[in-house]
Amino acid sequence: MRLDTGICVSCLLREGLEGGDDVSQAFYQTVLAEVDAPHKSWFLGNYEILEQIGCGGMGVIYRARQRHSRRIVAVKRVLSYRADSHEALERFRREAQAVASLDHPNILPIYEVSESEDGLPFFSMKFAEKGSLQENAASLRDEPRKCVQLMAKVAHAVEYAHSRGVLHRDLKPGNILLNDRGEPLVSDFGLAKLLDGNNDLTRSLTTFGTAGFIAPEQAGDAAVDLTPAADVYSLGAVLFNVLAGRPPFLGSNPVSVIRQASETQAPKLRSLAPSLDRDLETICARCLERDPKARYQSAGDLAADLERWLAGRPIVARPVSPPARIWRWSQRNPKLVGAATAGLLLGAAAVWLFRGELFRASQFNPPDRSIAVLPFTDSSEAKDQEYLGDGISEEILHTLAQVDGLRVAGRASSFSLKGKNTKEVGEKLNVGNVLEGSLQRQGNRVRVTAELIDARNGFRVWTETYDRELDSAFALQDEIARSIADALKIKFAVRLSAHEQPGNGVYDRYLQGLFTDVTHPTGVSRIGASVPVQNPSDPFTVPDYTSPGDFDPRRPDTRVTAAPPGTGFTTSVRDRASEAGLRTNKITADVIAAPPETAFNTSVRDRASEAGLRTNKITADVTAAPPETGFNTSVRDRALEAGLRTNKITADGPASLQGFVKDAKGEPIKGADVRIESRDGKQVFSTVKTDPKGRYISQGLQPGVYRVTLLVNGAVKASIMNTQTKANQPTQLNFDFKPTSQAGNTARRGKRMVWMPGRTGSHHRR
Amino acid sequence: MHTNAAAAWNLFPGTIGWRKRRQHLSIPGATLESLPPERLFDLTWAATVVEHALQRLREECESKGKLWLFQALSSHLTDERDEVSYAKLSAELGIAETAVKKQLHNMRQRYRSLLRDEVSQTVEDPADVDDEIRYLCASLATGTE
Repeated sequence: MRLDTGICVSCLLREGLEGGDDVSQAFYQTVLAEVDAPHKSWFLGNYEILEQIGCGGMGVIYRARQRHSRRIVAVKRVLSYRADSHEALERFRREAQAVASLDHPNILPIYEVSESEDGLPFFSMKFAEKGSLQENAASLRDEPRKCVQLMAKVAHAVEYAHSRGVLHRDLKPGNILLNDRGEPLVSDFGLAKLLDGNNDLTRSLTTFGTAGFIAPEQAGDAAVDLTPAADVYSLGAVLFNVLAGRPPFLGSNPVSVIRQASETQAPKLRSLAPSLDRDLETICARCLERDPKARYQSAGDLAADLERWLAGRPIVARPVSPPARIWRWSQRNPKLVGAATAGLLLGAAAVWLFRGELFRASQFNPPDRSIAVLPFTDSSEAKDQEYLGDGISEEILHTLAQVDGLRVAGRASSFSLKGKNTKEVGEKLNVGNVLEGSLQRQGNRVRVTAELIDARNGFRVWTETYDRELDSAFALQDEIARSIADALKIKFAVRLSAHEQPGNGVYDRYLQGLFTDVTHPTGVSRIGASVPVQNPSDPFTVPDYTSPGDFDPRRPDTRVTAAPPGTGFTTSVRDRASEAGLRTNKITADVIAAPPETAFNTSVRDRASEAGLRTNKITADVTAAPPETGFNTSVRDRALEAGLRTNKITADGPASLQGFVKDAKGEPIKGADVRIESRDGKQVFSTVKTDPKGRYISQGLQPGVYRVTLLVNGAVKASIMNTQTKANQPTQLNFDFKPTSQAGNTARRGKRMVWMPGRTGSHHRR
Repeated sequence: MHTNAAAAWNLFPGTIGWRKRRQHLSIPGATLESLPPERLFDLTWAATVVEHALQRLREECESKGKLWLFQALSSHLTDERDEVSYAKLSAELGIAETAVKKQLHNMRQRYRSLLRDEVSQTVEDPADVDDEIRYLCASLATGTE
């Protein structure tokens, strides 16, 4: 038997029996360091790696060259021993994609999120020529004004990310990069989340890098839901650092730094740099308050105060009484006092005169779920692609019009506004969003760019570029329109509150993670990607659905509908635990669906107990409910075959999966997570919670074969492979725990059954 | 990225997570079909242990910017000393022959340590590591005959 690298497994194993001294990692690293790297090019995806430029908490950063464009980029790659679980990697991918959607001049753009040959994710991003703020701190220290200007931009960027539901969590001078013009670029958004959730403080600290910059609440209880105030703290600490030349707290080790931050007030800035303005001290102190509520409530507030300081106006951080404020202002700007008075009078007059206009503007409050699709413009030189642009727009319009609960402005009215600005379009058609785009043909290729604009403020909400061969205009039109429409559905779903979710499966598609462009904290929540925001005004609060009252039948992912009466057939579940996952607490179930009219006895062969696995035996009853129309299917999915297949869609129409989870005493387990995954477990389509009666349901699934994983209190309890779901019918999958008391500690040859490192799931305690 | 799924066997999809892509055992499908589950399990177990040790080794190299070294030398980990053409490797890598020898020697030793460490995590008594490795070797021998 050989690995795909061609090396014989037996030989590799026997190597372990050869004599020789143990070589420690430290020693080996010194040996590695001895050899000088001649230029050896190697590739990660499309990037030729040129040199290693950093090694962070999660992985390695390289300077690299894009294969075709020759563009120099930075490539960051996670190393598996930094994130040794599938979940962590999955989260890494999601996070990176969320961050990739952030589009702000002061956020380091991510170009591509991809996966290397060995399955480890990496992403490419802009290469920042001037390095980080940390490297430039010394030269900046003498220019406090420049520092403040820079930090105001950083705060705006962070505010923008917060508005898109992404927390940074690891702001520090090393994560603020400078481009060739010295403009700041915030990098590593949200990525600290990767290994978060681990209660091991030491590990968290390595993840977070420098302890001096994280908020006290961030280092404490891992279960605390962080708010933007945590990033505000870090921004303050970075500001403090650039101005004073050191972070607010110092200590011999990270733990002592964290302790100081939690227990003592931050030192005054001017105690370290007496020449600095008192207002800067106040701003820093406000950011570094131990109580999150006492800090600036948003990064935007901080940015505004920094800008006030830059403009010589009184800052908000130190409350000043209104008369004093006017006095101070007039002292600073004696010449302006007169002008301001005149301006005020003029302003009042203008307000009066144009009150009608102002009132109308403030009335522009279109429904959130409304959109106008403008015809895509043709930016080809020949201008001969208008038909394609119009066709794509019409196709998108047509597809979106079928989405329940989404208001789509009519074709004629939308197309008549071609060329108008988005705000005007929004106001005229009373829509909250405008989709516009362009296409450009070059030879046999066409590039289509689509942009979703928030009509209320003109901000770009989403953008995507499609590069395609122009073989068949109709197929291309179809494909691009469908991609855009699907992406937009996701966008809208993300932006909807739970109570407004249309029950049309759009939201469920989002849950399925078919599109993982998640810019919302739901994608980074501890519950997983599938939890919608219940309170859109506070996107950082992730609801907890474990209490009975939280079970909301209106939520598609928690709605429980009774399983169809038991006229269905019983299936036979053959437990291949010993084959597939005995040591990993995994149960592989072969699901054999049989014709409905046939009655089977349930047959569960539990090999786990035979082999003496000390774990709960899991009985999986997989019952397909009777179909609307008769079918005669016999599907036998062997675990061994599973790897050769992808999720296949057997028919059109949504499928659903439902059932209950009961413990050893037959009591329902509420609040357990049932995760619907791809067969290889690499993609999570949906995570649903069990209700107080232990029931769960996941609707709107693509018909096909899934892996279903049960997690109780975050620990994997079972994974049912090859669960077949069919179109337009619910599949019943129950988890019934029964302890196997006779299961011993030892199995074959006295070997202890333990968790296999790197595999997903959890192992039982020794 | 491996795309030819039919040509490779991923024995237990999902259970190996992201590692599965590398876990391609070149055993004909028919052979696997005929194996009893316990034997199949041992085969995968052995491959996983080895894979993990190799992966750790790879990452230790990569974190020092020496992935190229791993890529060049790891295929010679199990070669007999006289099978290795140090001169060729030296020319390929652009480093001295003595350096190649030293690097390969240490890579082997490090791999051994990592492999034994991996195996030791799966047995109750660290003294059982040798036995366990022998057992897995024997399983492979009978499983793939």
